[in-house]
Order: sequence, then structure tokens, then C-alpha cells
Amino acid sequence: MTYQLTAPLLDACVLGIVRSEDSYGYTLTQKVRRVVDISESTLYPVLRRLQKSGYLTTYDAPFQGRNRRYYAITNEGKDILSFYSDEWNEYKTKIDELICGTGNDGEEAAGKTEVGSDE
Amino acid sequence: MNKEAFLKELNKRLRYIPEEDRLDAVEYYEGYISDMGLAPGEDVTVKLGSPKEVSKDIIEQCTQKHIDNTEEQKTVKGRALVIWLSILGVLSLPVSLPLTIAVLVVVLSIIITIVAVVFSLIVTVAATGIGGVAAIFWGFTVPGLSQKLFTIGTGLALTGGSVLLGLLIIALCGKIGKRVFRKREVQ
Repeated sequence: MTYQLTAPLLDACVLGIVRSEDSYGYTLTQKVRRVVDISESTLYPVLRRLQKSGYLTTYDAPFQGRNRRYYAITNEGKDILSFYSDEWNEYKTKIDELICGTGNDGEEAAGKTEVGSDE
Repeated sequence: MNKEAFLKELNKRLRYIPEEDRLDAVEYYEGYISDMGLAPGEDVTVKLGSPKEVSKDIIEQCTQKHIDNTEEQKTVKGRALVIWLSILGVLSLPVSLPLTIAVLVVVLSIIITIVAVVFSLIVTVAATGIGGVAAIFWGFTVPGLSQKLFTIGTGLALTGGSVLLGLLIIALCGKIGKRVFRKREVQ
């Protein structure tokens, strides 16, 4: 993968997955790994931190004679996720503008002032 | 390495983090390895990495709060340093204050000396000039031709001398000034 995933973005990814569906560590990791190149052991500390911050909560559900630990999102988690989501959209739009050159207004204005200063 | 051995070593490697964190991590990886659905006898570390690597991630992240704390401590240390320096400054005042005054006095005296020397030179030149010019006019009122000539001659000589002296001083000041400025530029 060319682009690096920052810690808040990974938090947002995990929160997003858990928001749509309560998940356990292994599926969470595989879902993220489908998109981002992280190791199998990357998510545990993230989950633990999110849990400690009160954004995620855990509960055990029986599965094949053992307990499986599921992660669920809290209201605080939903709040921070919507914050991350807004931030990400804003960031994404701005980066798109730079990459695709769709934000031409600012660029042209800058070019004009440059020409003006040369004269 | 099988699941049991992996969990045992992970547990061992996490012995220095809080017990709650350690148990949580081991429990998580116990479930995780079960969910991986490995064949009996399959090496856990191939996919998951060694217990060393896994524990490293946990310790680094679990100490994330420690990192935050240490950052706070750093700023506290910074503040402490400022406080210590202030205390040191206050304590050294009995020594540093007289020293500062002494240095200031020396610098001031040097400046006063330079100004005084320059002023005295100007006064000397001006006095010589004025005296010379006065002597020329005074020479006409003096009785006797030889006295007249002597006084006027002396006046002319004094005037000329003062002009020469003035030019000499200006030239010297210029040279000294240039040297000082050049030295400063070199520095």
C-alpha cells in the first residue's frame, strides 16, 4: 500500500466496522486487512485503547463451547466516529481537489497575483 | 509453536504491564487463535508473528498513556528547569549584581573617556582657531610695527595650525572609525 494509515484513521475504521455490526477481534482484523496492510497483531492495542477510552465496550457470547469476546460501539464511540467521519470527508475532499485539480479557483487566483507582482 | 506455548510466552513477556492489561491481552489472543481455525499442530507464529512481536505492540500501545504522561513530565521538567534557573539567579544575586554594576561602570567610564578626549580635542582646536583669529585683529591695535607684525603673524600661524589640527583630527577619527567598523564586519 502506497499511503500510510494514521492512528486516528485506523481508530475510525475500527469504530466504523463495529458500528455497523458487533464484531470480534479476528473478523475485525480480517476486514481491515482486506483494505489496509496491517499485521494480525495490530488491532488488539487499538481495540484495547478504544475500550479504555470508553468508545467500545465488550461482551462475551458463547461460541462452540467457549466465550467469544465481541466489541460493540458506545454512544461516545458514535460521537467520536461522526467527528472522525466529518474530518475524514473534509480531508478527502481537499486532497481530491489537490490531486485532481478540481479546486481551480484558488489556483487561478494565485496565478493572477503572481503575474501581477511580476509586472 | 502451538497455541498453549504461544499464550504462555505472551503471558511471560507481558509480566511487567498491569495485570488487568496482561490478562485482557492473553484472553484476546486465546480467542483470536481459536478463531484463526488452524489445523492441529499448525504453527501459530506464521500468521500471528512471534509472542515477542505481539507483546511489543501491546507494550508500546499500553504504554501510550505512559508516553502521554512522560510528555507531561517533560513539560513539567521544563518548568522545573525554569524555576531552578530563577532560584539560581536569585541566589547568585549577591555576586552577580556587583559584577554587573562593575561591568556597567567600566563600560560607562570608557565611553565617558572617549567622549571627553574627543571633546577636549575639539575645544583645543576651537580655542587655537579663535585665539589665532583674535590675535590677527588684536595685532592691528598693538603699538609699534614689529609688535604688530609679530602679533598678526602669530595669529595667522595659530589659525593655520588650528585648521591643520582640525583636519588631522577629522582624518584620524575617520581612520579609527573605519578600522573599528571593519573589525566588526570581520567578526
